[in-house]
Formats: sequence, C-alpha cells, structure tokens
Amino acid sequence: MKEFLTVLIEDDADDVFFFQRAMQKVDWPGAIQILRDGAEAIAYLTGRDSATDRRQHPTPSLVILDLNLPIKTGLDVLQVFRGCEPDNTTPVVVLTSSTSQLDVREAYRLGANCVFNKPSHPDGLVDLLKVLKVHWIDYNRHA
Amino acid sequence: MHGSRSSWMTYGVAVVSVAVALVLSKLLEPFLGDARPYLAVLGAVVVSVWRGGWRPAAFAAMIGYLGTAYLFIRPRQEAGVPASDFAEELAAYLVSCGVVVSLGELWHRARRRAEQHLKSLEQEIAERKEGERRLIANLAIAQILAESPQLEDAVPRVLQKVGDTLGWQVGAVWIPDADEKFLRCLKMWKTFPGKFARFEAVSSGRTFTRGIGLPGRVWSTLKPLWIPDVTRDENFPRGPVAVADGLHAALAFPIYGEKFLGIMEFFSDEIREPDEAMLAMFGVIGGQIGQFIERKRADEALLEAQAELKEHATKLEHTVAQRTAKLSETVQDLEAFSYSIAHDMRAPLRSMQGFAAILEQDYGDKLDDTAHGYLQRLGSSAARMDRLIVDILNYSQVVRGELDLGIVDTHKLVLDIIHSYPQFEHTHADISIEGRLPLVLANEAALTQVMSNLLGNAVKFVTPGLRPCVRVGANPEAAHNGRVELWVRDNGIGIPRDVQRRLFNMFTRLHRPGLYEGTGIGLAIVKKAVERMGGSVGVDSNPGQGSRFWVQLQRPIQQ
Repeated sequence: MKEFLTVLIEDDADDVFFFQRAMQKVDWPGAIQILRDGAEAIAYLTGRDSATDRRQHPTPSLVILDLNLPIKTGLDVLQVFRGCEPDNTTPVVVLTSSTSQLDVREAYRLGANCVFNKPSHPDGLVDLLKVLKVHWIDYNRHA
Repeated sequence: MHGSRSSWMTYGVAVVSVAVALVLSKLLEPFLGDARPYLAVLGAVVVSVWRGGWRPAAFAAMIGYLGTAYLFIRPRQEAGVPASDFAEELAAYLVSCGVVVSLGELWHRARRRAEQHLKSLEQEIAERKEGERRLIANLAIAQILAESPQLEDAVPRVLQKVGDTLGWQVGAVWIPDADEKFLRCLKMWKTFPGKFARFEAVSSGRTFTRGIGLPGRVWSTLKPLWIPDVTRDENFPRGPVAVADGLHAALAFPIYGEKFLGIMEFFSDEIREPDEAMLAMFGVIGGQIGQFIERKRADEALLEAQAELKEHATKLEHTVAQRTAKLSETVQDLEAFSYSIAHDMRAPLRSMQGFAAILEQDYGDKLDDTAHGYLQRLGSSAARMDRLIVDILNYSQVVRGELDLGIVDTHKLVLDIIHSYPQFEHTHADISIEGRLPLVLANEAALTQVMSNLLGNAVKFVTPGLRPCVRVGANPEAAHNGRVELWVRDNGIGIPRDVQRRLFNMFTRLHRPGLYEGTGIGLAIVKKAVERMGGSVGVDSNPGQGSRFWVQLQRPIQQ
C-alpha cells in the first residue's frame, strides 16, 4: 500500500510552522508535502512542469488548502485540481481566515470536501488536526 | 360766397330771360297781334326755374308781368286799369306761372336728391374699396408674420405690403438703441428703387430722440400720427430732402407689445388728408407686429434655454458617469484595503499570539514569573490589536456595505444573541426580555451587530463584583411616526451627561485602559448601522444609576 501523502498548500511560513508543530503533536501519519504558492500547487497537483515525475512527486491522499495564496488563489487551485480529471476524488480540506461567506460557498461549489476557519490559536489548530486525523485518516474510506 | 354769387347769377339769368322774352314778343308782335302777350314771358319763367329754382322764377314772373303790362297792355306805354279780357289773361298767366314754378321746383328737388344719393353712393363705394384695401393689407401682414420665421425677413415684407396695398411710396422701420436714448433706422423700402435716394440716404444716416421728428413724436405719444404734408411741417427735420425728393404725406405708428419696440413710417408723393380709419388700423397692426416680435423673441429665448439645458444635462451626465466610475474605483480600492487588513494584518498578529502561546506551552517550565508575565502581555496586546482590526472591519462593513431592509423579529434575534454569545455566559449576567419584542424593518445582520454591541456593553460596564442585570424591551408609547423603539437597560456604572453627546463617536473611551476592555468603536458601529437603516439611537443615563440605550427603527408596513 502506498504511503499516505498530505499536501499542505500554505504560503505563510509561520502558519507552516504551526501546522508542522500541531501535526507532530497529533502524530499525523505519512509524508507531508508543503507547497508555498498557487502556481506551484497547480503544477504539482496536475503533474506538470517540475512535477511530471510521479515517483518523485506522488499524487496526494489528502489536500489541505489555504484560500489566501499569492499568484493563484486557493479557489483557482481548487478549480484546476477538480477540473483536470473528471473522477478526481482526492479529499480537499479548505482552511480560510476570510470572514466572507461568499468564499465558503464558492469553495464548496468548486468541490471542497469541508471548509474550516483557520484557528487563530495554536491549541485550536491542534484540536482541528486531531479531528481531521480521526475523520480523514482513521475512519474515512478512500475511493 | 360762392353760393350767394351763384344765386345772384340765377336772378341775372331771370332778368336776361325776361328781357329776351320781351324783345322777342316785341319783334313778333306784328305777327301775333295782341293774342297771348304773356306767352314768351312764360318761357322766361321756365328758363328761370330750370336754372335757379322757384325764387328767381317768381322774380321773373313778376318782372315779366310788369314788362308785358308796360309794353303790350292797352293803353300802351302807360300804366292803367286793365280791360276785362286782360283780367282773364292775367289769371291764366298767374296759374301758368304757378304750375311752371311748382313743376320746376319739384324737378329741382328730385334732381338734388338724386345727386345727393349718387354722391353718398360713390362715397360708400370709395370707403368700401378703402376698407377692402386695409383688410387686404391687414391679412397680408398677418400672413407674413405667420410665415416669416425671422424678424429680419418679416419687417421688409411688411413694409412692402403696406406700401403697395395702401399707396405709400417709401417706408422705414426705426428701433431704439440699447439704452433707449434714440431711434435709428433699421430698414427702408421704396416702390421704385431708383427714386427718393436723397431721402433714403439722410434717413438711414440719422437718429431721432424722443419728441423730435416724425419717429420721435410717435415714440413719445405711442400713438399713430398722420402729417398731410411734411414739407409744411415744423417738427420734421428731414423736410428739405422731402422737398427735394417730392415727398409730402407721412404716416407713422408705434410697434409695441409688452413694451415699445420701434416705429414704422410711410411717405407718399402726394398731399393726403388724414384717414382716421387707416390710422386706427395701423394702431392695431403696430400691436400685432409687436406681439409677433415678442413671441419670436420668447421662442428664441426658449430654444436657447432648451439648448443650454440639454448641454448642461449632457455635461452633468458625463460628470456623473465620471464620478461613478471614480467612486466604484474607490469602493474597489476600499474593498481591497479591507481585505488586506483582514488577512495580511491579522496574519502576523496571529503568528505573534501563536508563538507567545507556544513559548508558554513548550518552554514554560524554563521561564520565571516575570517572563510569564511578559508573555501574557504580549498575547493580550496582540489580542487587543486583533479586536481593533475586527471592529474597524465591522465598522467599514456597516458604513459601505449593502444594507437591504426586511422584516426582522427582534424577539428571536435578541434571544439568539443571549444564547449564543459566550461573553454572556462568563459574566453570569441576569439578562431577560420584558414582554414581547416587535417586528421591525431592518437588516438582520446589522441589527444583530447593534443589539450584541449594546448587550455586550450592558454586561461589561458594571461595578466590579456586581452581577450584571440587563433588561431588553420595547416602548410602544414612543412609537410615533411609524417608528418602533427598542431599549436596553442595565445596572451599570452609568454615563456622565457631558460625555453622552460624544459617546457614539469613533474611538470614544471613557475609562483608563485595563479597567474596561474595549476599542471605542462598538457604539460608533451601533449609531452608523441604525442610521443606515433609517433609525436613530440615544441614551438616558446618570452616573451610578445605570443606563438605558434606545434604538428607534421603522415599523414594517402592516400586511
């Protein structure tokens, strides 16, 4: 069985640090690939440019996507990722610090599996990752 | 004189006729004998009555009798008692004379009547013809005025029409200058282009003040004026050139509507006696032309105003379009700005809070109490900054966001706030609603913000240690002009009267930092939101006696 791969798409270095710390605290399994902007994320997820070799850049088991990204927004990434293959069923967890309800609705419309507010406290992030681990890794049946 | 001379003449005719008759009778006496000695004289009487009427005829009869009696009645050459047969002759003579004189007089009278009748008939015909010409002129002028789009076209045609129809050879129009000090010649017209050149040159080159010359006199009286012969007129400065060009009769009338506009004058090469009917007609024509000119001017002014208005409208549209574009650009900038505040400014803050928390959690056992205190301050400062940013975002949302109004159940709205906001839990506040809160016309999100800010303040600003007691209610008594009043009453510290006015301003804080946490934006949001929903907000309070905040909002239209 192939190793569980989480792709974290997050531009903020501090947030990446908080994620890595929280993942460590909840014993997040498998490998973690971090992508720092929208364009890089699109290239990786669609297997183009530097990411054509799937042995080095395997397809993800779970995508954690921040909506506020430079170059291409999280919504752009989601649209391209869901649009590239018709039967793309990889779960996408969207995190946002935006208060806009519009962004949330758009994220669901484009195929997000769930949308969460980005916790502002490190403890909150640990709590959220605990839930995500139980849901998507321990109990979820992947297609 | 003339009449009496002619009557003396008729007596002369009578005398001559009788004399001729007597001479003839004398010459023919040998052939006629004594028979009918009065016959010839009777002829003289006939001639006299024919020439002069009954008076000379009676005179002729008398002198004829005397002459005949003297010349023919025996005894001849002496006056004597006539013979008896002579008496018969005399009677016959007198009767004949009476008949002849009566018949002659009757004939005379009939003839006089016929002549008079004919004369009046001729006069009537002439008057009718004159009236017809005036009517034609009048109609023609009306038609010209109706047809001519411009005053400049109409005036020469009117001059020509009046001149041609009513028999004047020269016409001119005079108009006042801007200051109304003098008249100058606007236009001249002549029947024959080659004639009256001197008069035209002088007229078009000069001006008239009020009361001077024909135009000046009409200007001061504003009545039509007729001069039978300008060459004999004392107040006609152009007299010498009129003599030189052979002009005599003149007519002038004012052109006036609401105010005096000018003079029209006409000249004839004949001496013409004033025609009252024509003068009256020109009085009317002057008014017609004046009204026409004023209507034209009003039309032109209207057109000009319309054009100007249109231009203004176009300009305005353009300006509005420009401003709208600029405004929407500004709004977009603002949106981007708000977005940037929400995300880019809050992200580093959250990092600060995060690192402070991690430091506390992961390295807490290696820090002393002072270090813990610093970490706590770091965290709380970051948290306060975050609240400020959120409040400013909320405020800007209220200021520029779309606030669609709908019917809102304030009872349910307030209950939801009380049950779902955690701050009311920690304070163990006693919050309840008095009675049933009404339906209002509002924006639900904005009203939620308003009520939660008011409730938040109510539980926050209490004397430390006291349990907050908050009541929410509605006041039907104050519900005038279709407004509904909601109020929030607390047992808090109260607000001094002198600061109540600036309470709703941005960043107004009445306490030193640390005692009551806040950004000073909450009530500014309340005021702005309520005003944008067409309502008003206020407070009744005294220090130490709690506060009562009220919000008046529109009542929904009853279904």
